[in-house]
Order: sequence, then C-alpha cells, then structure tokens
Amino acid sequence: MHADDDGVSGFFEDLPVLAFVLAGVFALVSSSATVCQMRLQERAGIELEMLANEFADLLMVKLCAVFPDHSAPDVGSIGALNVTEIASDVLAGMHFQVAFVLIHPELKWLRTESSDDNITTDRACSTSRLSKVLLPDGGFGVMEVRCVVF
Amino acid sequence: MSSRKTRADAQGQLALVDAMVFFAAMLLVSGMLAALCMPESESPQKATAGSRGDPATVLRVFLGSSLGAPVFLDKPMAFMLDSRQEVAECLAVEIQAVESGIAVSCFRPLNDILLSILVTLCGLSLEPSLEVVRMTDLQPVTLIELGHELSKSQNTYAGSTELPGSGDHVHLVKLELAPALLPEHVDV
Repeated sequence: MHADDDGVSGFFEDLPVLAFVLAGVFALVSSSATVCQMRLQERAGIELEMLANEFADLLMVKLCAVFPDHSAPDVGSIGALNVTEIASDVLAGMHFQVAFVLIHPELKWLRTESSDDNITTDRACSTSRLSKVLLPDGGFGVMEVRCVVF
Repeated sequence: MSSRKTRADAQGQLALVDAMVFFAAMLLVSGMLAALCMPESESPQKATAGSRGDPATVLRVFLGSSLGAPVFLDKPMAFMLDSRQEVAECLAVEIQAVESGIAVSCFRPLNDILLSILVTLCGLSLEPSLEVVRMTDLQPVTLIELGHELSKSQNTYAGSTELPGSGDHVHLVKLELAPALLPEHVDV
C-alpha cells in the first residue's frame, strides 16, 4: 500500500483493493445466477404441472366423450383408448406413465401405459383424476387415472 | 483552476476501506437474494392433489357410484339395498326415513359403507366429513353426519350439492375435506 498524495489513484492500483472489489462482484454475480437458476427450475416445474393436468383432463374427456348419456366410460372402453396419440397431442415429445386403477368397489389395475420404462429423470410431476366407471354387473365403480409426466 | 476535488490519503488507506465497504455491501445483497429465493425452492418431483383434493369432484363421483356391497337393514323393518344401488339413491332413502322419525342409528351399516367409500375416494392424506342438511327458511337442520367432526381451526376444502329425489324439502349434501393429521400430531 503506498501513499496517494493526490488522491487520484482509485481502486485499481493496489491488489488488496482489487481483490475486495472482485470478491464483492463475484458474490453478487454468483448469488444472482443461483437465484435465476432456481426461478427457471420453478417455472419448468409449473409448466410440467400444467402439462400433467392438461394430459389428465384430455384423457378424461376422450374417455367420457364416447358415453355422453352416462357420462361414465365402461371398463372395456379403457382398453381401447389410444393413450399414445393423446400424449403426442399434448406432451410434445415428453415422457409419461398412465395408470387406470379401479379403486371402488375393489382395488384393481385396469390398464397401464408408458412411453418408455427405461427413462430416468430428476424432474417429474404427477396428478390424478377420479371418474365414475360402468362395471360389467351394471353398477358404477370409481376409477382413478394417475398420470406422471417427465 | 481545476474544478475536480481531490483528497489527501497519505497512508493510502481510503481506497481499501471503500473496497471493504463495497465487499460487505455485496455480501449483504447476495445474502438477501439467497434468503428470498431459498424458501421457494421445491422438490423436482411434484405431485398435485388432482381430483382427490377437489371436494366438488369427490362429491359428484361419490354420489354417482354404487354401494359395491349389499346392505341389510333390520330395524325398524327388514330392508335390503342392492350392491348396484347408487349412493345418492341410498341417501335419499335414508333421508326420507329420518324425516319420518326413524333414528339415524338404524342406518349404521349403510353409513359405515358410505364412509368407507368416501375414505377410499379421498385417500390417506385427506379426512372427509359428510353432512346432509335440510334447508329451511329459518335454519338448516342437520340430518345425517358421517366422518369425524372437524375442528373449526382446521383449514378445510368444502363442496356441496343438492340431493335430488329426497322428498318435499331441499336437502343439501356437504362434503368437507381436511388434511389428515400427521402422526406426530396425533394424541396416543
């Protein structure tokens, strides 16, 4: 550190001064970058959630559209539903897993479908929908459609 | 004569003090940014409540589903409800009986099945409470209550619908969903 009789040398003549300034700038830039990254992840999560909800809603609409009088699909129609086509309309290449599960009067897996079983991911969103379903005996059960999008 | 102001700094310390103050200010700002962002961080695996968290949907599906098992009622008279009978129809039968003076306790086998269906629909994370009330000009009269009584302080989601075919009065079915208590909050 040397004397600055004229007071004009400013920050950058001395290394300790430069080090403090750079460290301050680095701290600010790094925390800003972290915040931006977290915001981007949060936005991606929200978009994934919207996609999952849209996918589940479209599945229910397609299922119930065949039976407008009952507003409830029968168990047989679930097997005929083209899930892959619906997913390609909504998900634009993203991966999915769908399970149609009868939860009342008994627990029974009706159908499962997935785009690829071997995909691993660190970000996923799941949602579910409940619906009446016409049982073979003429009664109405309750089916849950569970969707995972990743 | 120059208008520029200069300051004497014989020891060369002022610049260093300025830099330290700048560094401290930057640290403070960085800390505040991080603190504002941290509470909103979320897990990459996200699950929405879906239909199970929506009382209106749960109520609609519940009322439209079948009992799933036959119910025998022996009091005050022998009576059987078929397994394919819809919940709304069963509730209408029970309401008419209760309105005519029969005790709700006579319908306990039916109410147990209705509650188990509700619990199945809501899942483990939500606690259902169903109430059937007769709407009058003066004050609603509660006829049937299923499930645990929810405390007033609990945050709940509620939905209601009018029950068709239940007699002369208007009967309202109300469903309240409350987050199930975590194990550490349950008194043993």
